[in-house]
Amino acid sequence: MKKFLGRIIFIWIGAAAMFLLINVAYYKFTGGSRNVASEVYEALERAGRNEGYTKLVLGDSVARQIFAPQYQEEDDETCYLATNQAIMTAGNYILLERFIENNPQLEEVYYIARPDSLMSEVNFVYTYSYFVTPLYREPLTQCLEAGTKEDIDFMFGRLFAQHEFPKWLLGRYPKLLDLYQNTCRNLVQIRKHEYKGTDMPFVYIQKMKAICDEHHIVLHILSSPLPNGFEYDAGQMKQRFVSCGAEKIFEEFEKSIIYVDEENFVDGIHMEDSYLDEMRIEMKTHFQE
Amino acid sequence: MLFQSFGFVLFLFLLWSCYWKMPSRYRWCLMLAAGCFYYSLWNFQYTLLVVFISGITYIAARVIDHRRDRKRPVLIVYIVLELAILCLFKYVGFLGSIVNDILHILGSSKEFSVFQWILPVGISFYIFQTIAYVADVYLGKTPAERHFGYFAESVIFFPILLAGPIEKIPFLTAQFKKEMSFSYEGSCRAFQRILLGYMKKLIIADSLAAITGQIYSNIGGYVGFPLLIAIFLYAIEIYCDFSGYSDIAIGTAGLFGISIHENFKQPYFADSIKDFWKRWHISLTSWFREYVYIPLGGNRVAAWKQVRNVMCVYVLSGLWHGADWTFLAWGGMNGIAQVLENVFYKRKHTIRVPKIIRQVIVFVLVSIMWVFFRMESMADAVFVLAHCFDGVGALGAYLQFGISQLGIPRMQGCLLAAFLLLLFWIDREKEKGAEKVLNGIFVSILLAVGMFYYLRYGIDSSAFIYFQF
Repeated sequence: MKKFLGRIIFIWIGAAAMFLLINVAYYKFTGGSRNVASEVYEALERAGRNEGYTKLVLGDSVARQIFAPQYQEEDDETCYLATNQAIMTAGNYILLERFIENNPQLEEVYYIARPDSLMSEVNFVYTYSYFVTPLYREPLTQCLEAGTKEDIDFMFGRLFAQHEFPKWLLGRYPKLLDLYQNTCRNLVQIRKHEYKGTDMPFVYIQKMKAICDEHHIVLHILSSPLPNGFEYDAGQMKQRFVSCGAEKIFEEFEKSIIYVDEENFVDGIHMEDSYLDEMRIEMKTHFQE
Repeated sequence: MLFQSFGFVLFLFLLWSCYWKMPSRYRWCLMLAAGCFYYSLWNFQYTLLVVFISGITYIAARVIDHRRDRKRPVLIVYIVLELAILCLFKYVGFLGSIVNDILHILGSSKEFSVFQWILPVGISFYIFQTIAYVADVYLGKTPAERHFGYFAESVIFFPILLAGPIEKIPFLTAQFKKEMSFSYEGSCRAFQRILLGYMKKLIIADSLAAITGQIYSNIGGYVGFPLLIAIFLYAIEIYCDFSGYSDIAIGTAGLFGISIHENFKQPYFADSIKDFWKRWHISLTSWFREYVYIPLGGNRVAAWKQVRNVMCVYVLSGLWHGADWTFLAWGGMNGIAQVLENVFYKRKHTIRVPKIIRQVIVFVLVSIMWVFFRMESMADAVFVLAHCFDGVGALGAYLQFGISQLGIPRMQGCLLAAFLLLLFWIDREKEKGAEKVLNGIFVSILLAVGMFYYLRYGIDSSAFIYFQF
């Protein structure tokens, strides 16, 4: 029995070691290609350049549909950097701070997101791929609050959150990522009493407002188009905005909501392609106001 | 708990560790408890059904063995009861739909609503296994088992409980009773067999299922080459899925020192339909031959009766797989193919066709018949066959457009092809009778490549196709 167990362990360890070695070699050789969330990397790169834009669009995937990079040519005033809900307000804050650093001419910021995107917190399905992998690394983490870093390290583990090779490996192997995310979810369930949790959305809205005020930039938070009948807790949201001194921003957000027939949505969230041009024109009216 | 889940691997390891530490005479308790636990994870209530079936089979066999004067009525009552249970769970819905169709044709507006039970997984397998056992006791081929524990353990033996092979109960009980000691060589073979099964299921069958599923779930969206390729890929998928299951089942049983008969013998190397059925799902084919075909007279009767017997076996085999016209059509087509083949081979001076050509013809024929097995309606199956050559006039565009529609990344396609070649090589070696325990380093390399493929391209594994039967 011992000999047989030894053989099985030898075979498995041998296979795992070979798998790991080949991946380490490939990683070293290629320098680690980007496997997931390419739009976030692109946005990060563009935020690091100065192309003379005076307006900036940030936002979720619906905002990205409407203000997709392929429409950038139409507009030499506004930089389209909307990405995905999964980067949360924290990720958008990183993009904003980086953009401001490299674009002192910036005058206005439009952060466009559905109410649920705006309020989204860390989750085990998308946060790792969209936020931790591309954005949770030095020197970008300097933009984050200590509480956020603690939350991320707690939920995803320091090794996998802070080191590049595990991030690359998980990005390259979707099944491994599934396994890792499920393990994280289970571990957090077990240790949930240790979880402090921060009010991430509003901490970073506050920070966005502060940095914009500091650089005399006007911050607008607008809503992505919503299907008719979409409901959200406006009262609670308003309270939170008021508590961080952004009442006017919330009023503008509420006013900006456009309700659209459900048939114009593919999945209840994202819009039909045929409707995007019309939406872009409609949303740009807010830019002029 | 699927074979491909982490839970199963853990369950297997714990059970295996306890099994070999235990004295031989108590092992049946452990395996019986493990079988009940394993089945109850699917459905607790249906575990009682398996135990009930074990109980009535045990009693029926004992009564037949003791009261030879009353054996016939007992057998009839027992078989009626078993088939009634099977019909209740599996065929009531189908029969109801037939009645409703007839009423509709007769112009009646009445419609029966039939309650459809959840199908207990593996029911067709353990019902056929137990019927065979009682029939053997009735025919005097085997004595009735006296020890209920060993008997129940054979029925509820977890590796083969859900999808076969349909193993003879006395063959299993004899092994359970034997004083067994651990065999290194046997365990290595078993482990290798399990790995082969996982490779077939997780890498080949699941990948092909993603392709065929995408095409067959939207057949209106495809014409030409994708439909043609789906026909052949499904043939490989179902082979890898079911034989993969059988490999894991045989390997798992092997880890406990129990040998199980082979269920597949390289079926796509067959050079006739008859030969194919000697190699495909052997335990079911043997069952039908032994308990339907031979009692009907086999081939020692007049020619038309031979045809009747063959058709009877194949139509029943189709019905066994599922209560639907598509399964009936599939069974019927196999029957007709074999009847025609018998006529062809009986004629003297027929042209000698090279073996490789015969093998290709059989593979193509079998693949076409699988379309009826796979599709949800006859109309869909006919659509696939009628439109698979659309646009073949422009061969280049037919192939190019078709391949692009499959949407497989090049790297994945190459690796999948490499695994298919490996499977072909393994089957060819087996065909030559040269199966051996592979070198540990070679297994490690294969496992590393398998890990790479599964982690990078693997999809969420579905249940084995044959679980639905």
